[in-house]
Amino acid sequence: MRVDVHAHYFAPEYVDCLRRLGDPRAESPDAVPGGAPTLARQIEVLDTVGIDLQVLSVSLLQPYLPRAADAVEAARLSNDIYADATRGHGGRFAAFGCVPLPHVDAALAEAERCLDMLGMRGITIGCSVAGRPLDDAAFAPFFAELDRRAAVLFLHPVGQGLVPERDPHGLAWMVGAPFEDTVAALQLVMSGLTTRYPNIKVIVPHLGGTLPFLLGRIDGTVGRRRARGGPPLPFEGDASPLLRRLWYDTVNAHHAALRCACESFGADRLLLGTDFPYMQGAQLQYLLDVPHEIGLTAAETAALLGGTAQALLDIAPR
Amino acid sequence: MRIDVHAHYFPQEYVDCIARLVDPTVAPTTARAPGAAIDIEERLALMDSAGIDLQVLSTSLLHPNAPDEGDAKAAARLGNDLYADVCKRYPDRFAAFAAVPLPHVDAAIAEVGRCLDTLGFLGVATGCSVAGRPLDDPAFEPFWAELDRRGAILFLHPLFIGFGNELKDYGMQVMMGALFEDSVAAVRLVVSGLTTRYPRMRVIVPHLGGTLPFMMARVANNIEGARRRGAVPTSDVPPRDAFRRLWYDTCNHEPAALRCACDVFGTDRLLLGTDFPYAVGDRFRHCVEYIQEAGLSPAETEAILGGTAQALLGLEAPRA
Repeated sequence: MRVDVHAHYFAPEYVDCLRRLGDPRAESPDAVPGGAPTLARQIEVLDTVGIDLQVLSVSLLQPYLPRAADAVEAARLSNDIYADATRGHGGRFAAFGCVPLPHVDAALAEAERCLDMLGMRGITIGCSVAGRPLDDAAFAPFFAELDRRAAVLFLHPVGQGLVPERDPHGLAWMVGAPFEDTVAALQLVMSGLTTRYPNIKVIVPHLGGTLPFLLGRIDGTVGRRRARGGPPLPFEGDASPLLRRLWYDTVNAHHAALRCACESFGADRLLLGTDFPYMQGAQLQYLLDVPHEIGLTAAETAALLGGTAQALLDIAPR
Repeated sequence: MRIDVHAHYFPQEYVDCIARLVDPTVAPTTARAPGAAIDIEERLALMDSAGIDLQVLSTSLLHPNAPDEGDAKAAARLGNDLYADVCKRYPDRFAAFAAVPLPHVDAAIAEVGRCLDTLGFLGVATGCSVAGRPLDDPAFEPFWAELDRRGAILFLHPLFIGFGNELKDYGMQVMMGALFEDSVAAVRLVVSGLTTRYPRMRVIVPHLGGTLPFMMARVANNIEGARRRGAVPTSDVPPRDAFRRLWYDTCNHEPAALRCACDVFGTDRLLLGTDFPYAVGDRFRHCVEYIQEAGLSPAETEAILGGTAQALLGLEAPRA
């Protein structure tokens, strides 16, 4: 069974809602990329490339609005739309629910609704929340609840931070996004969040951004800071074993990067992702082909393409 | 011949000058380097222990980018004169990349002329950004035109700035901020069309290109899309090929990263670097060893350790 854990659906009603609530991101033409495919069209693509189940999430359009009531309205709307999608369409879709952070109580309530009532496979949050890092102390109760539930947590860049404001070349999404993934995962580990809440199943997109390439450097820096008597860390030993306890989707993979990720994390931590509708046609097919072309065993490839996700997201075989 | 293209030299007079005229905060970073107290003789012995014949010296983050043109010129001239002195004393062991008084373009062009034509330097060094502006800032265009006219080498180096507050915790500015700078600088040179406009300028990006090899699919797809949409200048050179026309030093210590860079750029684009004095002793020697242990052919290994640099830097004949 082939499972795609990183895909998006930009429901027009949700984008309209964000626009109405004054979210500046909903104004941009980039708010609905890839020709705004319908779910029916999306299924045609799944059939073409041979994906059985696609897990939908809101991408950058997290409902992190300043007024709690607005954030709740937007989150509920998105989750209702996604829940509808998972109930119809011959069961080809599952979903990660979004939550109205930074309003923690409201986010807890909506996470409960998503996981207990709407049948969602997990929760998606941004690599940062309304400009605040994930290790902001205020968010701890939210992570505690996800830990209590052993829930899946899917991170996604929000296109903010890490590049300057004037960005004529589109660096925010070109390189800023993988930087966001890197920093978010590191913050979760270095702050002790993943040690305190070890039951959360964290999925980092884009092969972890740049993490597989930097793993040795991360360990080296941590080790040298410790040796120099730097600020105490909430874990013993290296950071890399803690990073190896996360999962990583394969969006933006190419042969060398996928090999590097397998070497750094192990093929068993990798989950197929496509980033539909940002990737279509040949670029999407490439993501399905490359796991077959880097010398993995048939079992490893099958696990990467869906077996691992099936177990992680508690998906019934079909 | 084994050539280290990424090594620094911090004569105290220059450090003090930068602290006085440009930025008082950068001086402590040089003092904190593990090899800060290593003198020239000890450095040469360390190079010998790694089989390194020649180091090309550059100023790391101590660039003479003062807002006042007089200050910038004075600092650049002092640094380059001090570098010329050590190169003259040890002509077979040290060469140099020039420090330039950008953002003052005319002064920088003049200093390039002095350093390349009179002092015998092998190229020019700048930060991954200059005085808070990206390399593709239109103001710098005449400077790149001059380097292109000369077919000169440009060696980039991170300044440990940028990325706001996001990297302030857990040592992330050092852990990855510098590498992000390298990646962004290389991307900007290509996506802005600078490398298309100035193909004769020969660029060395440090640290295996930062994180660029790993991100290449995303970067290439994005640039192709941006070119198609007309958001950035078009080019006949596909993005992956454009990046393969740059060079990358091997300052990194991770075999997995080196393998990825070899796959993406080709072993013929890689040049040995050590980042002395930030690497000393065993770690310094490891800069060579990790290349020797990467499973490359002897020819590829020798090219990375010096063959490619020898050709690139115009050092075919033994130095007099």
